[in-house]
Amino acid sequence: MELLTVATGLLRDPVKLIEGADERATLARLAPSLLIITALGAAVFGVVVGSYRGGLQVVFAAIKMPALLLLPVVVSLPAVRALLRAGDVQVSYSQVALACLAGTARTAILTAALGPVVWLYYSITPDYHASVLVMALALGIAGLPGMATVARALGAARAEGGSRLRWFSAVGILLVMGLTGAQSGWLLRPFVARPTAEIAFLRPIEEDVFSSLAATSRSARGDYRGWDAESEGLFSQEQTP
Amino acid sequence: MRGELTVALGLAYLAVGAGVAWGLSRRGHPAVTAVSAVAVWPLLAPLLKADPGLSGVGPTATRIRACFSALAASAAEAGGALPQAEMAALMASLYRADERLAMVDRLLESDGLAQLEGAGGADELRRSLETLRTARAHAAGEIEAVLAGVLQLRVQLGIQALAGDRQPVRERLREMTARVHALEEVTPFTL
Repeated sequence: MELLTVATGLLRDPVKLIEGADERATLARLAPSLLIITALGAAVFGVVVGSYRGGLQVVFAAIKMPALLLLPVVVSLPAVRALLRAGDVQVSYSQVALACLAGTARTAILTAALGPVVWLYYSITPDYHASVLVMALALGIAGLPGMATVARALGAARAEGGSRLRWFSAVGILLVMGLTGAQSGWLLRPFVARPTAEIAFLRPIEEDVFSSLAATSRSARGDYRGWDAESEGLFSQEQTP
Repeated sequence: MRGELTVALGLAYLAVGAGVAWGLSRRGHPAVTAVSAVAVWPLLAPLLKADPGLSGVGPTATRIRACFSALAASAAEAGGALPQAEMAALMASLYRADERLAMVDRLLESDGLAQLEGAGGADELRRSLETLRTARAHAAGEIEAVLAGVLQLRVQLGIQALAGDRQPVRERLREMTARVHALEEVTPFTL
């Protein structure tokens, strides 16, 4: 019942749901529900995405999808706090954590809600590249309200301060979370595996999400150039020719 | 080399997460929160300073939240900031009193007691239960009175928006906190 109440609050008015005089007490009260909602909502979407390949990929995608939503939040939390400080927005660490958790949980609910649409599209057995793009599109559509929740909640928490710079903070937060979210998806891939591909929990790290999306977009139009991915970055693996 | 670095960083992250999870479980947070902390400890680390007893699960928890949210909204509308320390102290005291009410309610509604009382249990037990119910009603009345005082503060904020004097709000909050604290001290003797 508590989960349903929190889920309803997240969809109707997430800012009102998380506001309170004692943000730590609010975080303690809501954190379990928000984490469970995130895990369940994202897992549902993971099952749908994994169903494109079927088999063990359904389980892998259901496990990785909650991580895909939570990893960017965890990674970008210090940057979000720093951007807020730079924008002279007075919020505590607890308020930032609470806003990020609420935004993530809202995104998870919306991804689950988009699940049937994506599943219906996959049922007509589209091209692999088109399937990847539809998944990215669905995550983008669900992610925007979630990120807006974070920005609004932190704006609402700014009762004691803030300046015109807070708008730059809000844009910066959206950019940081969007970019880390996209790259997290690239690191945790595959979610949509090719029907003929061998099922794997994770793939080796190569290039980044933007080069991949560009190549996928070209491939969806029938142009298969640009798939010579190269190993780059701190955590990439050495590729032997 | 890079693979080893990745593994070392991953293990360090999980080790910190395990530490945070252990700390949270020791402070009485729910298991789902503690277990989740292993993976997402940066989000849950602030709870190490939080009192899990302030989760607000009693019969008046919703009203407490609503009253304080309304007060904060009124303060924001009036263009002022409430004294956060006094607000947090009063809210914490109210939540504790509210959770004691919940505990008493669970006790009164427990099957064993209800059956014993219904079957014409010992006179001493009936008297004790009557005393407990009276004490509960008194505590609930005090909480209601303090919540009414919080709502009264909203009106006061409107007046202060014109007069510009903030001191009485702080004093009023302290008075109400003392009233709830008194409830904490009296209740054990009453029971």
